[in-house]
Amino acid sequence: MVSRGGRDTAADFRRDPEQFVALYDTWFASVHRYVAARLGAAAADDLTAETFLVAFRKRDTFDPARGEVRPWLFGIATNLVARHRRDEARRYAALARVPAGRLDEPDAGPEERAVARVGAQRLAGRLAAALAELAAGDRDALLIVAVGQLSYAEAAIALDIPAGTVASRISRARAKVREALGDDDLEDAPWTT
Amino acid sequence: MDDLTPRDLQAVADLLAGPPPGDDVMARGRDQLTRLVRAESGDTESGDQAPAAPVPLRHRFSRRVLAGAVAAGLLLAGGAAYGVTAGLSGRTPHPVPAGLIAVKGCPRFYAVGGTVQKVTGATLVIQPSLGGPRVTVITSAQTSIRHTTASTVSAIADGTQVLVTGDGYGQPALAAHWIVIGLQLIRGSQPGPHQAPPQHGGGNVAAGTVTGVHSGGFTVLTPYGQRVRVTTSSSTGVSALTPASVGDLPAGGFLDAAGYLGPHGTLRAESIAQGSHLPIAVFPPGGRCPSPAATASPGSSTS
Repeated sequence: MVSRGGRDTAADFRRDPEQFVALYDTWFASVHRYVAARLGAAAADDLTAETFLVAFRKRDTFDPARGEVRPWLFGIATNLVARHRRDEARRYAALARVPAGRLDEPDAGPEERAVARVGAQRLAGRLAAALAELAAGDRDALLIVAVGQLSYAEAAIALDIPAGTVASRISRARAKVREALGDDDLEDAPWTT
Repeated sequence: MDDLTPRDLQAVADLLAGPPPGDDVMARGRDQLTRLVRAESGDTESGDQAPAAPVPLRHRFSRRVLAGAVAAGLLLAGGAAYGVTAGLSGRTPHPVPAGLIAVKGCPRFYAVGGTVQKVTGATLVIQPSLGGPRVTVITSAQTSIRHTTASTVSAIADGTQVLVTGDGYGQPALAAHWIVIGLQLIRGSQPGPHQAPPQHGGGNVAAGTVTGVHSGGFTVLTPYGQRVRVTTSSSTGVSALTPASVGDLPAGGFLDAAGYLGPHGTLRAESIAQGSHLPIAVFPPGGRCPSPAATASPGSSTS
């Protein structure tokens, strides 16, 4: 059984490679979500699979004393995404070109989600433009926390930087995103606080 | 920006991330990983071989990234994170051409918006506006085919299904540049970039049922319960969808076709709506995913 934290599995998969497949089943979706947010779903299909292949080949470098499996995987994914900065920039540019509020129909589903998406439409273009303007390191830190939902400590492990640097990068990124979104009422949102 | 909430921002993250990966995507990666694991474990009995070193991704998915970006643009334009995604190969038993649009909640139901390249008997060849290879659309006697004809604002009454293109959505009303009567958008779908000529442009679209008609406009009740006030003027253009046949669909014209995926990436059309003011969207009769019609019997086939 794989724990969400991955500590048990970490010990196992280095001894027993077969256990690595369980890691894949546990974390594929969340890594895919993170990569898809940066490069799009189509690219994420390939890059997420590659993340796990790379992780498996580098499994001996995983140090459970440093933290759990998830930030290690996100770190590998981030490094792979970094090879496609140009694709990422193009994607944000494409998203930013879509006029805000162009269309009205949210996705089918619970009404509250639908309402949320109306807000999302208004924000997405500006957010994409703001993301495109961020320094790569700042964007890494912001997205790994906001989309990957890693804690600062986990982000520090994933990005192999001190936690203080994570905090300062996110602070910088949030300031720019907040400026771009022009909203002061997002105090609980991972993007801006 | 007075009504944004953290939930909105989470929705933005959803929009950026797009739909979750399909089971087949996970299975493909798992299979690749399993082969590598077994190879490194010395399991030679299975005959598996380690997967080859990954092909540089730039070579593998440069076109797919583009398709994804276009799809994401459509999602944003449509405002639905999951409702519509551009078709990607490998997610269904049949290959899905890149220009096709999948509709959530309607398994194997796809749509395409694009220009007619060729009409041969009951078969149309479409060049998708989202890019990708041409798509062969096969019609049958069960296919609902409609095209737009000139109409007037006076034809709009309470209960009319409309799609309105204009400016100023929610500020406080949508000033209509063009209205198409008779469109019933499928729930879970939404219009993409519209094809209106610039003089009838306007970046905003509302689709739904008309209520509260008055001399200067009306309200559109969307399938999601939103009410959008629409104003009309003497410059507002109006067209209406009326029944048509394949012979009424001119080469070079824009149309939306929706139906079930057939072999070799063909689309067995349940509905076709043709008109220069239509956006890329899904307009099946009744606004619902239709049951797969009896297999279309194409008059002839083109490639």
